[in-house]
Formats: sequence, C-alpha cells, structure tokens
Amino acid sequence: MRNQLFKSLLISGLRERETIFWTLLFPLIIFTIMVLIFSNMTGEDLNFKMAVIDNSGDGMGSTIIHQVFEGISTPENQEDEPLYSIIDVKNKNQALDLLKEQHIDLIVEIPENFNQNFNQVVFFSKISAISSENKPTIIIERVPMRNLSQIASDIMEQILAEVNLEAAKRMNVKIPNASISTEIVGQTQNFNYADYFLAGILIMGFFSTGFFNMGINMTYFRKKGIFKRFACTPLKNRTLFYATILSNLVFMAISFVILLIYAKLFYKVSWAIFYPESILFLIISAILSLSFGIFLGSVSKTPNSASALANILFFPMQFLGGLYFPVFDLSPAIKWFIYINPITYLAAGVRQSMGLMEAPLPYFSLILVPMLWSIVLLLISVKIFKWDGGEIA
Amino acid sequence: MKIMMGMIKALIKSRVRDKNALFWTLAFPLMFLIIFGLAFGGDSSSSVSSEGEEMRYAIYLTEEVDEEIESNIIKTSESMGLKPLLVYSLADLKKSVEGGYDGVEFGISLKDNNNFFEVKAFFNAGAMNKMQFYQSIVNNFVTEFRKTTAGFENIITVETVDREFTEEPVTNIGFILSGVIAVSIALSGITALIVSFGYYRKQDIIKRLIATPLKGSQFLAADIINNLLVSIVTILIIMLLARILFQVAFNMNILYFAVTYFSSMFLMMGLGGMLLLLFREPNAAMTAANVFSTIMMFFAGVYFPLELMPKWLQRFGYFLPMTYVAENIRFSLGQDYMQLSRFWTINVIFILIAAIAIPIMGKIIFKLEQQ
Repeated sequence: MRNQLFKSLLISGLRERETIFWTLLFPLIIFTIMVLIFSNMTGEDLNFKMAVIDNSGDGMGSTIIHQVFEGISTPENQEDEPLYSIIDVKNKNQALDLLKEQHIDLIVEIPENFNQNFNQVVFFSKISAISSENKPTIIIERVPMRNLSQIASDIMEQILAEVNLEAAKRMNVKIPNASISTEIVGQTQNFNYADYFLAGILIMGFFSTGFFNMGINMTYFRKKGIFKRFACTPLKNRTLFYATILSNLVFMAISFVILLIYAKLFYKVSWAIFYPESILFLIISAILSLSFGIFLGSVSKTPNSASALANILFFPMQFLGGLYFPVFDLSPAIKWFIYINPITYLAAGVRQSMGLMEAPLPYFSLILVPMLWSIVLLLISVKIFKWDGGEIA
Repeated sequence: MKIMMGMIKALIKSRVRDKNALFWTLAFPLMFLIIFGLAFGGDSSSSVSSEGEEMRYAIYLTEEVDEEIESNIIKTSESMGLKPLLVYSLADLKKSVEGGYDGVEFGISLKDNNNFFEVKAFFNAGAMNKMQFYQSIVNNFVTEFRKTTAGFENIITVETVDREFTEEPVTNIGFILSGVIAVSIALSGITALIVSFGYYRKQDIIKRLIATPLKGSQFLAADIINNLLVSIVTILIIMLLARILFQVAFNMNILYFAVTYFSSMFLMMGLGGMLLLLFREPNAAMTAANVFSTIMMFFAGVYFPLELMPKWLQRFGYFLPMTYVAENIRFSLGQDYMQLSRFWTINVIFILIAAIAIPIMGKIIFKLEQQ
C-alpha cells in the first residue's frame, strides 16, 4: 500500500508538465546558458574600432606610432579580424560624433607638437631633463561606462607602454628583462566551467524540487483536505508524508541523472561529482531542500502563498549562494547574507570536493551550517505543522 | 466608460490578490534590483587608476631582492594606484590571495635573477570573472616596474580623457539598474496577456463576459490598461528604492521614457499573446514565456556584457527584443547615449509588431470562445 502511494505520487508528478519542466528541463536550459556565456566570455573575438587623429604632420615620432597602429590593425591571418580597426575620419568633431554614437570605441589623438617634443626627448634628454609637459603625449579618449571602450583604452595604454620600452632599448637604456607566469590558487585541478556550473545547477535543481514540489504539495494536501481524508483510512497521514518525501527524492535523482548525462554528452564534464565527498554534499543538499519544503508547507496556508514565499526565499538564496558566479568578493553590504545562506556552504563544499576550487571557509562549516539550518527548519515545522486546516472538497 | 473603469478596477483587484502574480510583477524585479545593486554596486570600473580607491595586492620578494628594488616596487605601485601587502613566504602569499586577507585581490612573487626578474602572478580561482582584468594589471605593473628600475622615464606619455555623452555622469549601478527596469518591463509585458487571456479563458471567464454587453475590444483595452498601471507602479517603486538604497537619480527624459515604456510593453504583450496562440494551453504558454525571458535576460547584455562574447552569441543577442528595450531604457533614463533616429526606429518597429499581434490574438481568442 505504501509503495502504491509512493508510485502514484511519482507518476502524478511525472504527468504534470510544469513539474517536469521546472525540475527536470529548466536546469538543462540554465546550465547551457551559463556554460555558453562564461566559457565564451574570453574576449577572443574582440575587435575595437578606433579613429586616429594626427595633427602632428610628418616626423619620426608620428611615423613610429603609425607603424605600431599598422601592426595592431593587421590581422595575423587574413580571415581573422584585427585587434583594432582604424576608421577614417575627417576631423575631431566627426570622431567625437562616431564615439558618441558607438560606431567607434576609442579616439587616439596625436597632438600638433608631438614630433617636436619627441625629437627633443630623443635627442636632448641626455643633456637636459625634460619636464613632463614638454614630453610627447598621445591623447586617448574613451567612454568609461562602455565595456569595449574601457578595454580598448586599457589595451592601447599597454601597447604604448611597450612602445616606450622598445624606444628605451633603441636609446641604449638598459631595461631589465622579466618573465611573467601565472598560478591559480584555491584550485586543485584544471578548472572547467562545465564542472563548475554542473555543481551549481545540480544544487539549484535539488532546491527547486524541495521548495516548489515538496512545499507546494504539502499545502495542496492540506488545502484540499487530503490529510483529513487519509485520517479516515487505515493508512496514517505520516505514510502520505513519507511517500511525498520519497517521491521528491526520486525526482531529485532523476534530475541529477538527466543533467549529468546531458553535461557529459555535450560538455564533457568530469566524473568528479561521484567522489564520495561530493555525494555527501549532494545528500546534505537534498536533506536541506526537503527541510525547506517541509517548512514552507508548514507556514503557508495555500499553495499560492507557499509558491510566493518559495520564490521570495529561493531567488536571493540561489543568486547569492554562489551557484552561478563567485560571491565571496562581492560588496561588503551583502556579505552577511552570503554567510548565513546555507547554499553558499553547499556550493563551496561540492566544488571543493570535486577538486575545482578550495572553499574560503573552514571545512567543518561547510557541513555544519547546512545541517544546523536543516535541524532548525524541521524543529520549527514540527512545532507549527497542522494536518488539518483545509476543507474536504 | 463606466464599464471600462469597473473592468479595470476588477482586474487590478484580481492581480493584487494573486500572490504569485504579485511576486512576478513586483517582488521579482525588486529582488533583482537589491541583489544586483548590492552585489555589483561598488564595482564600477575596470581601470585601476580611475577607481579612486587603491587596489590591494600581496607581494612576496625572494631573498636576492634588495632594498632598492623593494622601493621601486612601492614607487611603481603608488603610480598605478596599487597598495602592496608585503608577505614573507610563498605559502603566506598563496594564503592571502586565497582568503582575500586584508582586501588582497591578487598576488605577485618576484625573484631577481641577476637583473632578470621572474614574476609570478597568483590569482584566486574564486575570482575567475576578474582574472583577465588582474592579468592586465600585472602585465602593466611589470612593464612599469622594469622602467622604474632602469631609471627610465617614458618618452611618450599617455593622457586619458573620459568622455560622457549623457547630461549627468553615469554610475555603474545606475547603468545596471536601468537594465533591471528593462527586465521588469519585459517580464510584466510578456506574461500580461497570457495571465488574462490564457487563464481567464481556461476558467471560462471570457465565455461569461461574452454573454454580457461587454465588447471584446473593451475587455482587451481594460486588460492592457490594468497591466500598464501595475507595471508602471512597479517601475516607480524600483526607481524610488534605487534612489533610497543606492542614491541613483535617473536623469529621465519623460517623453522618451513614456514612448519606450509603452512601445516595449505593447511589444512584449504582443509576443506573449503570440505564445498563447501558439501553445493554446496557458501553462504551456507561460512556461515558454519564462524560458524566452530567461534567455533574453542573460543574452541581452543586461547582466553580462554582450561585447565580450563571441560574435555568434553577440549576433544572437541582437535578435532578442530585450537588447533593444534595455538600450532604449538606458537612453531614456540618461544612462547612455544613442542616436535619435535609432531610438525612434526601434520604437516604431515595436509598435508596428504590437499593433499587428495584439488585435490578431484578441480576435482569435474571442472567436474561439464564441465557437
């Protein structure tokens, strides 16, 4: 009989298109969007458009600058776009109009006295010190609020810094050489966005099952008087309650399997999610999400109010729990929420156990905080939960 | 007129009583405003020098590094707006980067190999979204440090001029929050007709209305007015909260904002209506609308910069109406500049699409009910 009840709950859930969509398909959509955005936000396709205004006339300095610009506006392969495309303009006003209307990202201006100052620096700097206002200056005009304009200007400054280094070498100034290498800390294996998001979206899927299936089912049963009707049968209400928990756990397992197969097939995720510690954190996630569901089912009178409350709790928790982007370096004003949010600990715990990145939190807290939340939510639920309250339709 | 007013009143009451609908129209955009405002409000620029605040980094110098080089590091850091935290072991360096101790955002270790400097940059895996930015700072730092060590002063100097094409200076948070307003408009627009026409039809309310002297066009008009009113109240609350919580004062051009608001709402209502026609079942239409909105939210350049994505994803973004809604809203709230011809073209296209889609949808739904 108990098995029958569990089966019928599971089948009725699987027949509901909305449940199928939100708990099984929506995680796949979010996973795809996130991996597409973050793994492609590398800036490899960047092409900046700039206008060059040369007021300096002919001279050695401006010739060097033009040579540099020619280099950066010529692509390595013919089919590629160059880093900078130079747009022809007649005068500064036209360039400013183009910048304003977002047709270009940057204006580079070579002032009238550039060549004169350049020659002075190159030929006489060893004899007398050159004040900064008499140095040849390149003017870069950008729009700081526009991403492309900001990046174009930063890269241009780096290029001009390299030009200075090159000039120094030609002037026989001994510039020490340097090599730069990089190490990522807090990470124990090669980082992969697909694995990173797999952990986040799995937790998201678990919690949406707990919040929306478990919570709303409980209020629905009470509202429709199903608990009352059960009281008239040899079966106990508790049996229905356990069957609901079990059917939601099966939903979570199905959601896990579907997402894993999809991520494995299309994004080549690793098997790290099966490490024992990762599984432990997923089990804690399942327990906590069901606790939230039971809590919602206890405090809400109608499925509608349970749904509204679930949304109000779930959205900040998922966005500020590190499921989609790192949260530990966010503004201090929001840090308190990040640290009380149990999802923060679960997401950090799963990723640490998958060997993706070290959690910047003590290990015991990764388990303790979600478990404490779970205990508190269940205690509150036991205190206020009522089997009746609805009417038998 | 009296009938219309009564209808509008009834629809507003029904909307306010429906807690779930109220969440999506009011609480959801407000939550996004607060989450994104608090989370990203302080992160305004990608340039170190323009921040005004110094950026903290940890540095570890190996034994061979002498005092002169140490002083050059400090000099270079100061000139770039960086604040070094000197640590005494590689392990400490890694720890401070990993834990972000004392506000450390990245780390550098420097080894002097007979005037050849081996520099290693350490970035936190948790700050992967900022790694490119930190890498560019480290590259700049090393170039400047080499020049400082050689006692070489730049031959060519660079002067950066920041241009603002808006009447008032634009802040990062104002820019993000105007995007949130665009999302709010798009969400309430796309779900509006699905709620009224889809669910009311399912509950046989439209059938009952047809039996009264009320015309289909009157119901449609009343419902559109109801949605516009609810949505504008939401936007006003968002703006008020943005002002109170984040001190964002939008420099709104009322005419442009009104035009953008109406055209965007109508367009989104039209799209929602088309989804309803396509799926018939309101739950299915609502699900499709939610998927479409989610895709639009992420690929329309509201939360993530479109420009940094590969060309094919950028092109995809340009097919999404929310990209243009966000662009128009930013312009009308004084957060960005756009050509007036572009602004009007976008609005006219929006209105044309809506003018075709909404009446067709209304007519078909009423016809179906009459049958």
